[in-house]
Amino acid sequence: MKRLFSILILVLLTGCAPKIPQKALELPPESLANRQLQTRAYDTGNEEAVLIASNAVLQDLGFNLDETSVELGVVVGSKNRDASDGGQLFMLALLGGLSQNPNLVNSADATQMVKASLVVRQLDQDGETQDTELTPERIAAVKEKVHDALYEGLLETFPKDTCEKIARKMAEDTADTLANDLDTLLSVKESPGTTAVRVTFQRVIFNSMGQINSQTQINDPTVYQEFFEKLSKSLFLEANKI
Amino acid sequence: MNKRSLLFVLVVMLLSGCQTAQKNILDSDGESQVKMRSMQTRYFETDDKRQTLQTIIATLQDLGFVIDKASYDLGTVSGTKLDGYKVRMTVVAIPRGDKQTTVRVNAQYNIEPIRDPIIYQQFFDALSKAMFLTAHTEE
Repeated sequence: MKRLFSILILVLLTGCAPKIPQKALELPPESLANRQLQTRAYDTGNEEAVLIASNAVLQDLGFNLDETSVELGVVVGSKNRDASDGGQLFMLALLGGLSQNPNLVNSADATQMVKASLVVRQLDQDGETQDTELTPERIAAVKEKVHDALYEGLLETFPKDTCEKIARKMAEDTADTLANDLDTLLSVKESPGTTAVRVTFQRVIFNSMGQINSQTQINDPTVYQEFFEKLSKSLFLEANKI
Repeated sequence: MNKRSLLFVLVVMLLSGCQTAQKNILDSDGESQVKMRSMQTRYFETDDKRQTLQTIIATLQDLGFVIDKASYDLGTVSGTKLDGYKVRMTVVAIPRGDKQTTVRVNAQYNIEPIRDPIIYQQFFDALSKAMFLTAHTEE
């Protein structure tokens, strides 16, 4: 009786007040290793281009974006996927059959929610950043220069209105190329500086009754390697370990 | 009173202790607001909001958090740590005067608010190490 009594109290107490592990917010010794695993540095000072390329990679990997903040360089995405494991299902079905508990099979892993959070951050901000951005004003200036040069050159051989037509067409084409195609490539390649990308993945596995079976951070190096390989390709840049 | 009825009364008391759905809407029981606020708040000698927020994000990541939301305008960062348990945390950095920044944190562990000052202290220790600045408890 006394034993039952104390067990009951213990069960009820722990049910009410689960205590937080005392080291939950202490810097773990493996934090440096994890940081290196999750971070790569790219030789560009253009944070925004890195952010856009990262978005594209997350979408390639099937994530839907939940949150983005350009000022702080944060992108958050998540996806829901199947998590069932044939071996585990078989074992639980077998155990359930043996223990006359047909519901046991429902506690097998069924679905998972995978979440990715990516933070972009400029590393060396002391260096004077050269302004290479192709603003509409700059493109307009280039357009005017191309137009004037062509017009003057053509004046000797063609009548006035033909010169004007050709010069305007060429100038517009040049401006289009600058605005659309070259902008990303040039600004990524030419911006001096280093941008660090740190990505973290975590996942929650649910059983078919919707209960949480496990919730963890993913620290598998191959996941991070694959992610950064894809990001390097989409940025035309090599990823450097930090 | 026999043993059985004593047991019954105790179980009822403990069960009713668990059913605090109403109280938990606004966390009306528990620590006083002033006490909670003081354990959740520190002051840093810096006026660089961007740097502070970026350091907060980096510290959360070092502590195993995944960033959920961030807003520069409001100075807020929220993150979740999953390690068999779930800790959700919101950090707010707002300028205080011309030279200081106030950092306020709140967090929950699974379905409980964190009321342990040691846990908050651990976070501020990690943060001040990363900021190369001391976290002041006084304004």
